[in-house]
Amino acid sequence: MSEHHVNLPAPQFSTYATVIDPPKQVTATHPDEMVTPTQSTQNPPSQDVSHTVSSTPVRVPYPSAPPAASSVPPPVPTPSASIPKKMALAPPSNKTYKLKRTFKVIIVGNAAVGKTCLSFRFCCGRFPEHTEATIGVDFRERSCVIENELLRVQLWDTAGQERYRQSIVAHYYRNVNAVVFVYDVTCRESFNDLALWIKECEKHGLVSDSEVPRILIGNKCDVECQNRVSTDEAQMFADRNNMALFETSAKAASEADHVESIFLTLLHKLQQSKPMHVQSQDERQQKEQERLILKANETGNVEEEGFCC
Amino acid sequence: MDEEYDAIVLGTGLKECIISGMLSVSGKKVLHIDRNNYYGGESASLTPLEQLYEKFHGAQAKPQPEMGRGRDWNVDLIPKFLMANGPLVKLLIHTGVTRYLEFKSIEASFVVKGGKIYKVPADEMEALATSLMGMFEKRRFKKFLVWVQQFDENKPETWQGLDPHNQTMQQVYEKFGLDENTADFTGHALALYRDDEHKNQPFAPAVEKIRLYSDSLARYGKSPYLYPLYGLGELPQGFARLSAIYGGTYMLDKPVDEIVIENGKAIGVKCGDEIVRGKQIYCDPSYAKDRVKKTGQVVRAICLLNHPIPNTNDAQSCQIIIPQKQVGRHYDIYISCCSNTNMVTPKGWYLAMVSTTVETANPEAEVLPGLQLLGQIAEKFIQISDVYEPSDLGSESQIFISQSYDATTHFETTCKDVLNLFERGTTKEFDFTNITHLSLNDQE
Repeated sequence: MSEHHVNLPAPQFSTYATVIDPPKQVTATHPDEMVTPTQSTQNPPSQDVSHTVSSTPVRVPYPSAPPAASSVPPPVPTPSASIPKKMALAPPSNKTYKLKRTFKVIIVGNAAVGKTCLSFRFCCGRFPEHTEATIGVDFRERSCVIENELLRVQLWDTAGQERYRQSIVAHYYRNVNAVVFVYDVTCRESFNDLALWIKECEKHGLVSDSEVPRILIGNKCDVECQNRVSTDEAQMFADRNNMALFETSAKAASEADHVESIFLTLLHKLQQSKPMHVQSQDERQQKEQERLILKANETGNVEEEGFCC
Repeated sequence: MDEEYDAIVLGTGLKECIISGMLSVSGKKVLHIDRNNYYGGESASLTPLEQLYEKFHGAQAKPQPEMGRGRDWNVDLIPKFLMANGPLVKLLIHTGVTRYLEFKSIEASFVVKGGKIYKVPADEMEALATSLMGMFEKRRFKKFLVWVQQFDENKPETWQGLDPHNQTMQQVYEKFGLDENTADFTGHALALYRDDEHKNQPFAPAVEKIRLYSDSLARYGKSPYLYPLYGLGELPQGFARLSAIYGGTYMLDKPVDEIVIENGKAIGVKCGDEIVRGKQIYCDPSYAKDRVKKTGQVVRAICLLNHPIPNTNDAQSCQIIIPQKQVGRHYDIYISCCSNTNMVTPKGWYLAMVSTTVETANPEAEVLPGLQLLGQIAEKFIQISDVYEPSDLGSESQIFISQSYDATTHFETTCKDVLNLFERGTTKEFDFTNITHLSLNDQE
């Protein structure tokens, strides 16, 4: 490279959150969160996971949560805020899992319906402190054990490009394993626009009869509102479009378990999906050989081998 | 829309998207607008196929049913490949945009000589077997390449008696005893010059270009070129997402009426009844027609084929260069071809693009030598685009305009223009340490 010298320091650290299941107990930072922070100091910090889980098959030491626990149906949330949260980590064990599959899940819906908050709640175990625009996050990640298999789920963020509808880039919809549609139960418009979002997804090949599961979440159910989108109406819409409906709140601490179980239900569905359309480690390696996935380590100087002729 | 932005970027071509990403990463508040309802502007990949027909033949035109599902097509409007060791690849890696893209090597590169298609040798075996040059010429050529590899402008001991400041490429060819054919092949198929002007210039840049070619070739073997799955339109979209992640606001399908000027300085843009305020404007030439000058024209023929290009050994993707001398022209003719393997066509279909810099009053006839190599063409779209460059460098007006995409086959000039724009606009070089969202995984 001649004139335009690009000085390239190594890229800095990650802001995409990777969390090992169950999420680390975090001291409540939002006034709405009445949580008793138990055990938080005993938990091994989980921020190194993205490092541990590298592209070669590795054994990830894993604080065991009994798989059975993650497969229970969504518990009916009790409105009492005083019950201790169940998210505290189970005692660590020596169990190890081979990380096999990564799922890309996209969240779509109008701006300000709480997409980011839902993914934050699921991946980080709490409601985000700063709720303005999403900055600096590509996707959030969490690893979960389902049926004795360690799965990694990536929840992709729209990065604000949903504000003016057609502006979401095409690759957002590629290689997607599940779609989560979100509307705000207190905002009729966000519900009405779901049809447009479904159309947008279909334009990119994510149709209802495909093997990509789709779910519908009505968010902000804790907010009092007069013209709330009724559950009946939402249920009818969900049935028509072959989706499961959940009403919840990313903000209310009492709903935390519910958010958790919604995503775990989805993960169960994914875990049982045919291996053919998710990427296993082997498949990915095979694909990498064929298609080139450029990584930073490849920028290094190429061996000087004189040209062939 | 009622707030003031640090920068308003108009058009979502690759250059504008890279700029937008770099500005957002640098902490600037960016609004990015495009009049089209798709990303990419001039550098878009149109999909579905119906969109291509509509653009060229009007809303009534429809593709043939045998052309398969429309959305399996991603048709580039400009033909370019990435040099595997080139600046765009580095930019992609260090901004983390590679996370959204997958690439494939272009399978082969060809050059036309005496009306015949020859493979540009990609390894020693092919070099020994090629009939591009004779036995003794091959030996001289090898000597030349060894010299190219070790040449360093800053170390006179590597010059071997050649002075990079005073001697031309022609003199280098002469010193190594290379004949005109080999010089032609080197300048056009390896250094990728479009004309012969480099022969009379100091030789250092040409040597640099040959080295870029061989370093790029050394990375993946088959050819020095990479191409993103789903077409080049993925590149601007990748950088658009980068910009959005760092807070950039995106609006497509938004007509822009004019750039609003006060006291000789841009203060925003007018869209319908509203004026959006911004301290700086970055745009492609089509958004500031009164501040650009036309420097030439490029003609491009997009061809839909239901077979690979003949005589390319059924290559699923390739480039063919027709050096200017072979067809009595001033500029080379380029052919690029991609297919289902690059996710730009349905199975069994091929997209070939023939392009060159216009030098006569009948541009369509100029691409004919290229079209003749393609065999039967199922459908052809001819596009003649003006090439503009800014007449206003922007320091006064704060309007920073990119150059149109030229006829080169790779992104060297594109990157140069973008980095130049960024420096003109911010009076700083881009600081890659501002990129913080990359994971540890991507660093490995």
